[in-house]
Amino acid sequence: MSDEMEEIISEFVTEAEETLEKIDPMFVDLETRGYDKDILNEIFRGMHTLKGAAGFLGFQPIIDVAHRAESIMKRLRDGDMTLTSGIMDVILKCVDMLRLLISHISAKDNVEENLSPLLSALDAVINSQEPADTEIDLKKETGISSETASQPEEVKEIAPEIVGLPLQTAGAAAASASPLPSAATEELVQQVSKEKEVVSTLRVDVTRIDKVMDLAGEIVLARNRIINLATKLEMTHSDDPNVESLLETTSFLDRVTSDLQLAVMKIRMQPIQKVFSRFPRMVRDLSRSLGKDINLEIFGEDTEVDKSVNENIGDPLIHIIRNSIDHGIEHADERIAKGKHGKGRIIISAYQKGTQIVIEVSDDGKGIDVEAVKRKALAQGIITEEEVQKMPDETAINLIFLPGFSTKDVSTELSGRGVGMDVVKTNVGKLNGYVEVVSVKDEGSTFRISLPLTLAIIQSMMVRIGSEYYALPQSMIEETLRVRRSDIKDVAGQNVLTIRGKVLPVFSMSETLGVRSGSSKVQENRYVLVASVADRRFCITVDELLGQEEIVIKTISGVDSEECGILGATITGDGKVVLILDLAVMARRIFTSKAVRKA
Amino acid sequence: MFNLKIKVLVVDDFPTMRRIVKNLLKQLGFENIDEAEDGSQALAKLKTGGYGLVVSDWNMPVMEGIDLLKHVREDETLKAIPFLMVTAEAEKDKVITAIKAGVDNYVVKPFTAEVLKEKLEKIADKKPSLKAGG
Repeated sequence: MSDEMEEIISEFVTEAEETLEKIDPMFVDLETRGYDKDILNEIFRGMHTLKGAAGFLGFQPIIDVAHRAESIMKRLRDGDMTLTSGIMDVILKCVDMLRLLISHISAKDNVEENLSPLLSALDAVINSQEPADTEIDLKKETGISSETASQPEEVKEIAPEIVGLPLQTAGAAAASASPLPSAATEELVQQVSKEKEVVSTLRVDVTRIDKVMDLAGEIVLARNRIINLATKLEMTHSDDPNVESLLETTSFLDRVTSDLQLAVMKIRMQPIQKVFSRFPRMVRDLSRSLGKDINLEIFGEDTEVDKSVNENIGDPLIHIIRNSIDHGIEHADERIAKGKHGKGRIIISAYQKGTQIVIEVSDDGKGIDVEAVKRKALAQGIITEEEVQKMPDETAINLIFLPGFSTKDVSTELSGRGVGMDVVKTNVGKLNGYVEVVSVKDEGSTFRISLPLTLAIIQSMMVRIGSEYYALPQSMIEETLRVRRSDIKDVAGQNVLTIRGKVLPVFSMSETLGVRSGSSKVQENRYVLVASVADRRFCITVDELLGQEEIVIKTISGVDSEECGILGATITGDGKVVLILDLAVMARRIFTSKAVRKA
Repeated sequence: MFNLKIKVLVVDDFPTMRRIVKNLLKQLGFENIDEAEDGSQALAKLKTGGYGLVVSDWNMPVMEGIDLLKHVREDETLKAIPFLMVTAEAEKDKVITAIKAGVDNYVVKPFTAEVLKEKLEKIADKKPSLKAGG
């Protein structure tokens, strides 16, 4: 196959995927709104375009499916057929099949799908009136035209006859042409075409962008080293004019690198809509199959996130939403008995909060039974009786994210929230984010996923613990303090520190990590970092604060972040390799296990 | 043979289709090929002048191929321009509409370079501007 052809096919795959992605949520819209000519036309056009291009490329299965879907859409659009849930189901299956067929083309796996069941279902819709498994009608049924869409074969035979026609009539038609379009229309046309030019885009292979991203990361590391060296030179050779120029150049390099980094980061950003667009369909299908009535509301779908977030956040979100539908939202009668609206609600929203992206999934279902969670955790030996007493409810709920916290037998008792929630947490953790849950019995649950804006380069705080240096993600550190040892008080076995009237628990990093603290025992002053993880604030003590640094996260293969609380490693300005600590894991360890209680 | 120096405008909302049509035209020897995403963009481009052939899809957002054709035929400066409509078989019944609106010929998707050549030759018989030296 020629390169040109390869390229055309890969373009086709991308565009076909985009087309399907765009029309997918339209079906759900259509189902709620009933007849809408514009939407029907848009879907029709999508199918039509796919079929046309597939025709040139010889993808017969796509043509077979898209052609039939197009015929149905055309008749729906022209009012020759009324939309029923049954027809909708068949068309949705078409979209799924097209997606599958396109994925085969993309993977070049030569896998052939068995199309016959789908094609006969489609033909049934086209030829008769409705598919066999028709359910409730959305609209009152009207007379359905029995004429079928003309078959390609017949048409090709007619074609030559028509060709002769234009040559005689063309002149007459041109002669009888009506006057020119008004100046206003012309202006509008030009305006529209100008607008189009402004938003022109360029399609680039992701590997190229990632290469640029990688290189930008390397530049950040090199810049850090140069800053470090320049600062050292300044101290030893402050009288050398070259050193002064070096410092100037370095500060320029510093600024440009930051800008470059931001610019590269933006290339990778995409609206989260790419992920959200799947959900209306999913919620529809799932709630229908469970016989529940659920209204899905989506906000902030234009929030931009890193491409890798879009690629990896889908599964955890699906998991959470599925749980909400399956176990959170009650059946209508149960809801009404509780004094709620019979129709359940799920709200998915995304927004940027500082340097973080927050994605929330809320439902107004039955909520999580905290007592049941506690009982289960106790029975499994995850927490002790004493801890159960002390543990606030909001902490206890988060026990469901612990890997050891199982699952199946609990699922009914706990509204099924235990099922695979550790998977959600693990996936979110891979994106350096964290997930938390707030739940009120009979009022509903909210799962909140917080993710860093960028995954590759982060602002960090360099600290020393014992004889080792570590980097902590700046995004989770609120402030740094130097306090007197005597300021840290012991309250019922827990060290606490009062900061501006708020009492916060204090933990020693060296003890949490299990490393020997250096000279801290004799020190009168302690360095304290106030960390904020998942709305929980606490203090950690370290032996020394070395300052902020922009670092590039390099993952260490074979190291499980969850197990050891290490995000990865980085190379610092002075060329040292340091470990990056995962504060979210630390926090969970501190709060949920029998972790160190003293600082 | 055709006048291969003329500027051709390929109109289609689907980029892959534009590329395919462009390739087919290149196979016939056309070198100067421009693109537009829909009828209105095409019309704006045509009005800047210099185009010798339009190959347009029928079904597009904003302005469909048939409306583009009507606008072209209603415009004194554009009305003589050779116009080839690309259609799908489902739109066959609409071909008559296009003929009445003054389309020079039409071609059904999918088509080969050979078919495209035949269609263009038919147009060239009537519109010498498309012919070599014309």
